[in-house]
Amino acid sequence: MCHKGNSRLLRCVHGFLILPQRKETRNNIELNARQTLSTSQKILLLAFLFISAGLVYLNWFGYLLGFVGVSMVAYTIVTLMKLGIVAGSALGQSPVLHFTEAEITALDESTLPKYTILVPLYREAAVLPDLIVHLSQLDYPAEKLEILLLLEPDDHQTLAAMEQTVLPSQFHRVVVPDTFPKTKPKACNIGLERATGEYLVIYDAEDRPESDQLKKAIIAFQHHRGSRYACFQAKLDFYNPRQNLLTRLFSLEYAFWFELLLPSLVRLSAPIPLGGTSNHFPTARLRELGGWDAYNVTEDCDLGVRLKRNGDWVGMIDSTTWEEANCQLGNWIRQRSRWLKGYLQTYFVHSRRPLRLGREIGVWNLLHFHVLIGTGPLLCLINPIFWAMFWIHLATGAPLIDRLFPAPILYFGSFNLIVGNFAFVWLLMVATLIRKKEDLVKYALLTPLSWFLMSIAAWRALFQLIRVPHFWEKTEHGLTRSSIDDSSRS
Amino acid sequence: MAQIHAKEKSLSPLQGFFHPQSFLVIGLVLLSLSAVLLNASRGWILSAYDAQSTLYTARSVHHSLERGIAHLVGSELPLPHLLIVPFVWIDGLYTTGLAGSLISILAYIGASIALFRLALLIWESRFAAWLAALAFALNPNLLYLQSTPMSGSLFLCATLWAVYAFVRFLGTERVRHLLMSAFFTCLATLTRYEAWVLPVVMVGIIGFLASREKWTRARWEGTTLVFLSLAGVGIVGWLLCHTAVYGNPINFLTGEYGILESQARLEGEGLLPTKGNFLLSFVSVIYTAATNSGIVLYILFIIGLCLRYPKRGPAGEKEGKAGRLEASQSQGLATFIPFLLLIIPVLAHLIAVNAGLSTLLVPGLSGVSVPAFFKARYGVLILPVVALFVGALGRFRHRVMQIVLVLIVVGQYGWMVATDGIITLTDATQGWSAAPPRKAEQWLAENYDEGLILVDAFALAPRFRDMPMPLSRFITQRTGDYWQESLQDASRHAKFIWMRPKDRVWQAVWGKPTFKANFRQVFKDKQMLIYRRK
Repeated sequence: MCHKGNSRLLRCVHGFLILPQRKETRNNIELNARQTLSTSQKILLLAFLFISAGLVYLNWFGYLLGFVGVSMVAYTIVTLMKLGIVAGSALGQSPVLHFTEAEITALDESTLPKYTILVPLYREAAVLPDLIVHLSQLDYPAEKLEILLLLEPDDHQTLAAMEQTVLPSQFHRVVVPDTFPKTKPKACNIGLERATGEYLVIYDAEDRPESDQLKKAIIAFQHHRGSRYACFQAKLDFYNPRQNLLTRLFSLEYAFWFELLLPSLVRLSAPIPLGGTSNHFPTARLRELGGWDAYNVTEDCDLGVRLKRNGDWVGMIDSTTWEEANCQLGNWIRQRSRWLKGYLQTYFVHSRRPLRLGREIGVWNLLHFHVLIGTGPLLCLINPIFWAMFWIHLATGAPLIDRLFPAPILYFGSFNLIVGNFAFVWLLMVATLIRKKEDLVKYALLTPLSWFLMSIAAWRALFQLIRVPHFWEKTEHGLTRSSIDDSSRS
Repeated sequence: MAQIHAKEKSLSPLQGFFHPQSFLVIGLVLLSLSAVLLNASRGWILSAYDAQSTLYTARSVHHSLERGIAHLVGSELPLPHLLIVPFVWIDGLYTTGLAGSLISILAYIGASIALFRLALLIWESRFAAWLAALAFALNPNLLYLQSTPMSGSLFLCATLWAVYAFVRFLGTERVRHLLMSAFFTCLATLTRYEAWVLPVVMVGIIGFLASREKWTRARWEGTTLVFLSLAGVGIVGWLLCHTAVYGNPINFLTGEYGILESQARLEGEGLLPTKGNFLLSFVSVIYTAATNSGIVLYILFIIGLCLRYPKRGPAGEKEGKAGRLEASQSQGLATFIPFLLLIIPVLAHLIAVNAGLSTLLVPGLSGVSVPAFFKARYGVLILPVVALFVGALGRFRHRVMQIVLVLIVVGQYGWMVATDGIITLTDATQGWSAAPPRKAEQWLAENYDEGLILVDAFALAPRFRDMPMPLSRFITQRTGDYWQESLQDASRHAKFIWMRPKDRVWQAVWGKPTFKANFRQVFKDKQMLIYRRK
């Protein structure tokens, strides 16, 4: 979507001229979020709205009953699927690749391949010094490391800070063209074009990867040479989990994501919504895939689905990148609304040809895709409706709400209310215990607070998806002093 | 990369088939099916009223006049009923009782495997594990129970897996084992009330371990919270269910049809001699425990208990950090913990018997003119711990002694079968637990001609299976408005009224003008009355 004004228009046109310089693939053309909805999706949506309006006019209660029934079944399916996914993982062997110290030290540094690190930066002047320190501490020969700092031309603050910084030899500045869209994946695509490393990884500005992470990724790729592994995802964790309630809740969520959910999905070979950073790729394969979707604001999630569609595998390595947990409410909601918007974009993009998607990833993975990528944001949107119903019924015993929950729907509703809510809270507790952050376990009981915030973010995301689908809402970094909670690394 | 290496070392299918546990499973399946076939051919599967009752409750969910899962919220815990709900839908499985047997069979196999693994873990001797499994799985009382829909084998299965996983957790401190233990503990608490003490004791053991190993407070707190939140969720859920359905969280105990009321009725009939009599309670529990496990094995169990001095405990697992429990086990702690956990249901049963919350009658012991057993099957609660410590004797590597031990186990059980010493079966077929159809049921079966039958199902304990009409023809306490309206005016829905003096129906209808005007007596014996609408 191009903004108003001639200069914007020119930049927009320029963008279309610049970006196609990359190798265009079928994926780039068909599977991008430049248009949120395809024509057929728009027709379907309109038809749905039209039919809904007609049904509401004819029998509003019946329509409402249907909505409640379908929602309850959807909640139940999501609960059972998530429990099933995690239980399956708990019973089986962990797919996360572990490495011994001996394996890492046995690597011959002279034979190590060149590694490119992409670091997209936008308004990150405050964290620049720390970034350089932490990336310089990576245990990898400097001459085989290419760190591309991807800068936006209108980010004068970071550019100025960069000018005043003496960069070690492995760091390189890359100013990306001032084109539309202005997103992280667009910057990464520019970085991908320039990359000369055999392997490539992305880090965010505030990231602190464990020093041996690149070597671990190399071992993983070498061990699986000739296989379809196209990505190894490292775990993400926070260095400030105990700063306030928000960071504690965020930390619980990350624990669930990286200790339970992602390993389970890897084990099932399901589509993986990759984490935004610390995913390691063979550069050539990433280029074949067409890089990232510049229009998708969760390009990582989209890439995970595309990898699956192309028959590539994603693995996980036992190495952690430490990030900054969002500690301010507004910042948290902005970040979360971008994620949810991106999930919706990804869902719509890959649902354009559902049958083809099903053929490419299989029926079970199709179900995973719908549940994990599509249903998640939708349930965040409708959660407040059912919370309101619950509390109103509790307070007033409203008979209308009673009528909306006849016996079968009531069973599903009771299951979701009791088992579903309990299960999600409990899984966070388990994941946090696995992460050995035992003192945070009890905060899982406050998780409903973050569900409430997620619903706010979801509505904001929907609003933005309609009005400014490609707008990249900036998450402020550097709000936490780095020394605040280094104990979490232990 | 351990994970990769582990993949490379995984067993081939053929190697997996010849794994010792495969033979155990095959043996268990054969044993189990043989027992079911034998009991089915003799018509013993549904001999006990409780076996029939389990099926009725489950079938009521989808076959009663008012359907719904609220039928599962009664004084009995819900898991045994819940698991068979899908199977009792099928008429053939319901009428034969095999709907319940299916779950009991699986539970029996699962329990035996858990015991085998627990014994292997503790005694570190394959022979000891086999001996323990043999002492457990060959037991004729258990083989009878696993043929029926009763909850015995399900409870043993859940408890044994909970204890096995807990002992492993103590050795490895892996979250996975903690969760597994919590999960099975939760299942046990949803099967029998005797298990409600287990989560508390396990939390105590975690606290003990934490203090010995100098865990941080946060670690102890987190571990306890995660364990308890799953292990205890069944108990909390059960209290919530009773609150939702009856408005009283302990309705199963104090409610109108709760345990206290039914026990009071038994007491009124002189069938609760153990209440307040600890000595009688203790002797009765010990007697049923010994006779269920076999007196010789019971003596071997005591010998095994006295000789428990393992060289190494579960911490001998190489995967844990250097022997946590090993450091703290101090010669025997590692064996004391499973002993404690497995004996707890027996102690809980003893307390319940003494408090009058559970019934246990033993002929000749009970001090009342009771010529038969009642609820003697609870003696099998001790079977896991008996088998485990009989297995302990198998650690002695003297070949002759090992052969003698096997012969003793087989001989004990053979003798039990040959002398009709299977007291669980005796109780179910000849004791108070037996459920032969009564005259009133026979009359109804022969004379029923459509219409609804009003009956106090708690007081009369109807044998629905012995009557040809479907469950949906009965108006009972679980039929909501039908029940309430019929108590006001029986003629509104019911064509037949089946009651006995002083039961709920009798109290509600007797003497009312509408009853006198609309119903006439069609059957009467010493206990029961049947009225039919004019």
